[in-house]
Amino acid sequence: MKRILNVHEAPIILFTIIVTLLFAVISPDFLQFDNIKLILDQNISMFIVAIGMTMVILLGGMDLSVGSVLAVTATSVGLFLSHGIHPWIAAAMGIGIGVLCGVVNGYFIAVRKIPDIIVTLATMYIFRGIAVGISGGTWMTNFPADFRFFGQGNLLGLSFPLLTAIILIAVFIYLLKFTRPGRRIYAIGGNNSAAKLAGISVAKSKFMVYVLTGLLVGVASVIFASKVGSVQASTAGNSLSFEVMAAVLIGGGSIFGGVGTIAGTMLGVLFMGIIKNGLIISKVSPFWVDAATGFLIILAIVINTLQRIRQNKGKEEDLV
Amino acid sequence: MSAWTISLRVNKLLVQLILLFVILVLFSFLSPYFLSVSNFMNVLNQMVEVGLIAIPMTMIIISGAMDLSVGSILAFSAVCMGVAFEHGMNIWVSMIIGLLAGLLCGAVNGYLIARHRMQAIVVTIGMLVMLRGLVYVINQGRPVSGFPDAFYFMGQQYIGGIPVNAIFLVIMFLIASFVMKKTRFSTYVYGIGNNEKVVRYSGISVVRIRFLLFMLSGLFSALAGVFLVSRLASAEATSGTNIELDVITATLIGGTHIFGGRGSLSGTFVGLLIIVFLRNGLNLLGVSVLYQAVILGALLLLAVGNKKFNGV
Repeated sequence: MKRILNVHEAPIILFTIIVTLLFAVISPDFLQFDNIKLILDQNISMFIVAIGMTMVILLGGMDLSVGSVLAVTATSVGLFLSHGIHPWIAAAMGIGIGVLCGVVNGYFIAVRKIPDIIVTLATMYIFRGIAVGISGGTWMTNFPADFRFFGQGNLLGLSFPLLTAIILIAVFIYLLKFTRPGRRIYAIGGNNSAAKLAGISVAKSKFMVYVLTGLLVGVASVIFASKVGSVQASTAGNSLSFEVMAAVLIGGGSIFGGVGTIAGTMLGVLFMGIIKNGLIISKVSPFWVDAATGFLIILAIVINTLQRIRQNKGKEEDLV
Repeated sequence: MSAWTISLRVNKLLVQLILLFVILVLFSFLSPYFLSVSNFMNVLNQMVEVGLIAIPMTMIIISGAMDLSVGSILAFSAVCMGVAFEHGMNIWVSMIIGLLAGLLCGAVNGYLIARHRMQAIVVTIGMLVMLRGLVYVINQGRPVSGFPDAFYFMGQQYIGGIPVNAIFLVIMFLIASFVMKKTRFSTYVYGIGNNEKVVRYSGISVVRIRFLLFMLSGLFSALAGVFLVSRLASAEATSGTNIELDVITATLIGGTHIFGGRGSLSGTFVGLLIIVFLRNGLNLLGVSVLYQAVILGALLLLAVGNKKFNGV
């Protein structure tokens, strides 16, 4: 029993079970196979983006711009498609644009050493503006039938997006746990100056993480555009950054870096998805969903702080 | 050494003033409507909301933290005021309710951040998302209007050709500037930004100062909400969206250091003028709001990136 309680993800597993039971009691439609599939399906983009956000938060940073990167990438994929480019090439170019956004973030954060919160706050507005600019303010719709494969197609009996997400999650769990670049991320997040003294290039790792995040957001946005079938640049992924950040923190990631796992984050995303779906199924006003997200972020930081207090009593930390 | 620092500070202000001047000259050439008394008064009238929030934001950034929830607090208190008025309350009573709502939000921020040492950015992002959601919950997203004429005095009247709210803003800036120059409170704020531990070991309650700062931020955001409602004659759920970009950019362009410890309200005021004249000029040229956000974002990066280069 003690061993179970000591698992880092214990609180989030407990929360998920409680919330699931609660909604199952409130609404008989909740605990159906179709609904569970729907929850997974709706949150595929979030699962993928959350992998990147986990790495950023592990470094002790924060990326507010992922929602806007999603908008830019999805819009440009739509634009490529409307110009008659082959869906696979369009998707690849879209992912390339995601990487490019990651490079911009990484350059300012790792090379110019500007605090990430300021850089990503600025790029959040910049990318959003660019997305609206290239879309001309209109909806991107009428994607070719071939493009639907990315969001709705089946491969080996599983849906393609789910398969992509599972593969990406597996790859990044392996990267973070068993490879040198992955362990470097934990080292830098755990103690920046010690990592520097140990000969780790902090700037290089940071740059790599932001580029990888851009790549993951690119993949997520292709799936998003294909699944939804239409993209509006000004609203696509509007609160994505905040929701994903909440998921990472709820999943046991520490805002100070160095602590957290991808598995925990995935549970966090699932938790957020369950709450959103449950609120809608219990016929609560949709306006409550946003309020609940904000409340969850605050709840996450409260849990985070409690964990930190338990781990190191009396230690001083910085505020920002 | 001190003479060198002073000359540097003067230079910084000089650079900002030159930037402001360049913007003024540039837009005067680009748009025939820019250089006129009525347009300038218009700008003064519109800068009040950003300006009011920039005062506590400057103090908070000097103390080494940040408040991202200001836009949502603004909307929350504006809508609280509107709903109270709709329920038949006197307009001034509902205004006080709006201010109290803002103060309450600030207190929640302050309680979590100061008392429990939680990360300012995450807490205020949580408040940003939650309050914006609550705003929609409270009034289902429809605007509240139909306030009595006496209330519009705050946002739409001119005294001697100068808008009332601009006069109020300048007075607030003067008071805050005095506080930040001559009182013990300011020493503590700068001290916390430079070295929090030393301030605590000197026997000063860091918790209380931090708490006060976030309360102040909530109150001023609410005040900005009241002025916005008075100016636009309606309380909307979307009001104040993205205002934190303007506020933070104004503060950082004004020379406040992002890591805290340095900065001044006079700098913020010049930064504020730069932002509002830039926005006004772009509006006159017909540049879309979203492109303006791109330009402001770039300016924000420039302001912070430049600081690094100076090694200040």
